[in-house]
Amino acid sequence: MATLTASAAISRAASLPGLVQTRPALLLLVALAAPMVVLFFERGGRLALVLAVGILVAAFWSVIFAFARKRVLDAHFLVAGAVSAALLPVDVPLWQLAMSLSFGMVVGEQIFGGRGFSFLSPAVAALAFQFFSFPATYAPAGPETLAALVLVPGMLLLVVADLVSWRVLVGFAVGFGLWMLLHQSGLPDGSIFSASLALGLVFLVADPAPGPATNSGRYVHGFLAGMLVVVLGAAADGAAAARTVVFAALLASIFTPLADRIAVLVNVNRRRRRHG
Amino acid sequence: MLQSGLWTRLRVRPYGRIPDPDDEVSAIFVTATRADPLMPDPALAIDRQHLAFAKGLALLAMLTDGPVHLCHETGVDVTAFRSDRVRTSAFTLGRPGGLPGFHIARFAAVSEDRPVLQVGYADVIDLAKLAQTGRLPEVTGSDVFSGHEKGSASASARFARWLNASTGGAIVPREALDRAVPPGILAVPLMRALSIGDVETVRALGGLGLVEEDMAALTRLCASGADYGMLLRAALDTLEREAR
Repeated sequence: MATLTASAAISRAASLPGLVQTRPALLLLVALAAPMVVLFFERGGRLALVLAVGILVAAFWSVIFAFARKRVLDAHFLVAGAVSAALLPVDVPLWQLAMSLSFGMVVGEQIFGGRGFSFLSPAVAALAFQFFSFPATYAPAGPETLAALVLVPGMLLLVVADLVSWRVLVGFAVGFGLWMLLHQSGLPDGSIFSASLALGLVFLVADPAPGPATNSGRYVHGFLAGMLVVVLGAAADGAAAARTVVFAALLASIFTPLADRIAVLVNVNRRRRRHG
Repeated sequence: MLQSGLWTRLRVRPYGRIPDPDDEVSAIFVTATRADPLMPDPALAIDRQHLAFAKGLALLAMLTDGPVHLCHETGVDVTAFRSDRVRTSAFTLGRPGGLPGFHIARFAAVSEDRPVLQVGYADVIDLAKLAQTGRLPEVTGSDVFSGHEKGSASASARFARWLNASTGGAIVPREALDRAVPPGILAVPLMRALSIGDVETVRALGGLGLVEEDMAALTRLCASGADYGMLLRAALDTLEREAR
C-alpha cells in the first residue's frame, strides 16, 4: 500500500510539467542571466533584494490565479518579475515595487485570462504604473552599456528559438533609425543606448505572447516602438531610458491589435477580389 | 474511373471530399511533391512512366475547363509535360511546400462556386493505364510508402517539439506558425477563429481551401494543445451544411 502511494506521488511529481509551463520561460531566463550578472556588479547587492521581491510578487499572483482557474501555471512570472526589477532603479522602495507588480500581473495579464490572453506584457503594465504613480522616486541610472552588450547572444538565442520575432527587431531598427534621421534636432542623447533599452526591446517590445499576430503587425509593432523611443526619449531629456522604452512598448502594444486587424481585412479583401 | 474505383482517390476542395462526378471543377492540381523526404521520389516514378504520365495529364484536362497545375519539386525537368492546358510550378521538398494545400493556396481561391481537384502523381499514371488496359495496376498509390516522421526528426524539429510541448495554455503568436501554413493564410487569426468556432471568419480567411493535413503543423507547434485539424473539419462540416 505504501509503495503504491509513493509511486503515485512520484508519477504526480513527474507530471508536474503538465501543470507548469516552464520551457519558453526557461529560455528567456537563460538570455536574461548574463545582463543580470553584469547589473549585479554595477548596481550592488540591493538588486538581489529588488529581484527577489519582484519575483515573489509576480509568483504570488500567478499562482493564485492559476489555482483559482485550475489552469496551467506559466513560469513566465519569473521573467516578468526579473525584468521589472532590472528596469527599475536599484533604490526603488520595495512597497512601490510590490504595488506596481501586483497591478501589472493582475490588470495587465491575469484579468484577461493569463499569459497569452492579454494584449499587454505584465512587466510593461507594472512599470508604466510605477512611472506614472511615483515619477519622482528614482534617480536615473547610468547607461550600463556592458549589460546591454552581453544581452546580444541571448537575444540571438531567442530569435533562433522563435521567442523573439526578427520582424519586430527589424521594424524597431527602422523606426528608430528613420526618426533619428528625420528629426535631427531634439534627439535623445547617447544615454538612450543603455541596458534598459536593450532589456526593454527584447523582453517588453518583442514579448511574443501579447504581441502582434500577423507578420505585417510585427513590422508595425517594432516600427512604432522604435519611433516612440526616439520621440519619448527626446522628451525625457535622455535621462530616463527605462521610462522611455516602457511607454514606447505600452503605446506600441495598444496600437498593434489595430495593425493586426488591418492585416486581416486586407487579407480577406484580397481573397474576396480573387473570387471575382 | 468510377467503376475501377480510381475516382475515390481524387479529392475536391472545399471540404476535402471525394468529388461528385457531375460537378465541374475550376482547376486540377497534380501533386508530384513530397511532404516528407522519406516518401518515394515522384521524379523517379514519373521519369520511368513518362508516356503514361503525359497521357494521364491529358485525360485529366478533360475533367475541367480550367488549368491543370503540375506541382513538382525544384530541380526536376518537367518541360516535356507543359502544354496549353498543363502548367508547371516548382515547390520545395518537405512541409508545408510539399502539401497540395500549399500549391492550391498559391494559384486558386477555393469556394463553393470554384472547387478544385487534387490528384496524386501515381494516380495520374494509373489513370493512363486504366484508359489503356481497362484495369488498374496492382501496386498503386503514393501513400502506401509514406515514411514515418520519427526517423526524419532533425535536431531543430526535436527542439521545437521540446519547446512546444502542449500544456493547455493560450496561443502564443510566434513566427513559426506563419511559416507552417500555405501562402496567404494568416495562421494566428485562423487559429483563433477555429478555437472559438467562428466559421464565417474561417471562410473569410481561406479555410475553404484547406483540409486537416494543412493544420497538422499548427497543432504540433501550438502550446495550447488544440487539434486544429479537428477544429477545421468541424468548421468545414458546418459550412458545408449551410451551403446546401
